[in-house]
Amino acid sequence: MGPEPRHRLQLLLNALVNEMSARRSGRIRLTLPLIAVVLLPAAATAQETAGGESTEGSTGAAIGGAVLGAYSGTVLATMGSLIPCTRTYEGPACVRPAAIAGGLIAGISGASLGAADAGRVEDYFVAGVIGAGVGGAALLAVQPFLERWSWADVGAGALVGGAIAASGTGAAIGFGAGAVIGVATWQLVPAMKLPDAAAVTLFGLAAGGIGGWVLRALDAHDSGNGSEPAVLSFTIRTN
Amino acid sequence: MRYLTATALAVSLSACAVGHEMDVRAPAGACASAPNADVAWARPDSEGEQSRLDDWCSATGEPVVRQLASAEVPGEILREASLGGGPVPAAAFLSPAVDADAIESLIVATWNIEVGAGDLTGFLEEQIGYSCESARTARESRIPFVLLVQEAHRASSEIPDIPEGVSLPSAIGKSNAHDLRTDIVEIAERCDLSLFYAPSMRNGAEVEGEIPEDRGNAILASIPLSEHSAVELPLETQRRVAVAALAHPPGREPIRVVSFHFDVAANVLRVITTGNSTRLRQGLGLARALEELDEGDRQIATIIGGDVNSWSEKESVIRHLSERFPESPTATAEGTRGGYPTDHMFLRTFEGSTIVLDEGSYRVVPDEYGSDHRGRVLTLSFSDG
Repeated sequence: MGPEPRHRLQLLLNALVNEMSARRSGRIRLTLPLIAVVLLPAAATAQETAGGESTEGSTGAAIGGAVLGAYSGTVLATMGSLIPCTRTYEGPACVRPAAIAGGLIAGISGASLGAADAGRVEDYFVAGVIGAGVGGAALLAVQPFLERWSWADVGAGALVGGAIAASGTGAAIGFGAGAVIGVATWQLVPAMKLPDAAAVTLFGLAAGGIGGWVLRALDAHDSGNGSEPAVLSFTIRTN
Repeated sequence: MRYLTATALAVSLSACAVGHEMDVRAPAGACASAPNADVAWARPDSEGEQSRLDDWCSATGEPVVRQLASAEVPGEILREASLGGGPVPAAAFLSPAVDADAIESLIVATWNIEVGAGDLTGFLEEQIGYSCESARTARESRIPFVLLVQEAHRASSEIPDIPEGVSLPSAIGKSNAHDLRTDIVEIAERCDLSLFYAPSMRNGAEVEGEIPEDRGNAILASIPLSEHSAVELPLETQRRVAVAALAHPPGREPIRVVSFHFDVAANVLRVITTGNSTRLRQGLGLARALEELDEGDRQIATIIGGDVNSWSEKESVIRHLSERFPESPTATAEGTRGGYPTDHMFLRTFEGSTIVLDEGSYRVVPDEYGSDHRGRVLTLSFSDG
């Protein structure tokens, strides 16, 4: 068992400060692997504990959940709609309504979650912060391979990483399903190209992440109403 | 406090204004901010963009304008024809090598030559039917042509030193395997062609013992060019300068020809906050600048061609340009860079124009000629009106 998520957050900040000092002095960066080692378990722990700390909801948590959900849903929907929208006449104008819709759905779900269970909103927020750290660190790590790079790229990595991590396992499942479907159709359908596979993968990420917000809101309300989570039962026949 | 951070992140997403207003200035020269009477410049209105574009420009040399020697036209006649939009009379050509009666069509091609990697002389000979070896002698039977070139380069000791603090793109094309790497100015002289070249950026950092290089778009033509204009596209990732000129087929109406090259993508933050508008913004900026060049009563047919860097023929920038250039050939999915349809051409004529696209002439060249792109070629015909 590693340190608590909040303690890990402190370690992350220390590592980032070291990283910036190393960049200024031109030293070789050794802190990036440390960041990854510290952050990945922290993100996992935060996710793991998300379901366990059930408390009462509050107005503050509902507002916080709404903001967190809106941010996460907006970024995810933007990413999911980028490639399909680039192929329409509207282009960027088509991304905007998709982003607004994603933000609204996840925002309302987040508000609903906060109203039912403040602890879970807090945990997803911590996961989002950790995801932002991982995303930013990832963009720092690929710097040597990019022709043009700026701190804005690190900010973008953090923005995306935070949105994905805050949305929980839904984004991961959607990403995986999208990748499998995308790559399979790319290989099987001659008219499909690599960007089409990327489009399906990103769409899966967005749909899974936003769907995750909706499902966790429904789950929190079901738990609050005393209903049990759905469990699949199996009977093993040995005869 | 924690929620405030999330709010700030969400609010930052709402800032995604996309503009493409262009400011046409004339005359100017090496850069839009440095006067030189040969070239008119158009550039984005935003002062912040202009300042960054000037930084990029400061590491490049001056544009090059060259008129072909064997079909020379007195400058005054060329200027009059440009301003009026009318034909240059065949009798005005100083060289008897041009047979105006034979001009019934014009070949227009576009090709990204990967900074010297593409074999231009081979392309001209096999795809256009123009031999550089006999350029100054056997001109009568040839169909005149215009070649819109992207990733052309120029090596010259007159390219200025790199100013302090200017960021440079990586060099392209210096490591190609063949020995045919010839710069665009040398090609124009060897093949006796009209040339308009305007560098967009430096081609890599200075290397001890090597002649400095810059790279950008160019127009090569076997007919005279006039009214040279350089259009600095909206700045997304790299400085991109589209080049435009009036081409004068003998005895026929002039046509504006434009070579352009859009960015592949912006950085991650810009992609997210603008909805991936990079190429659309540059395409609309170019279209707007070209419209402003023809403000007033003058009507000029225009053909633009270049490297759109598109993944699909259905991209929004292609749809918008096809709308603004309604006589364009249909954009096809046929790959010009690997399997991707990155290169396209667009045409706009006007009521009463004698220029017509030859149906079925729009094609992808089957060979890359050493470049990483295959060219596109079409034929325009002149009706008798």
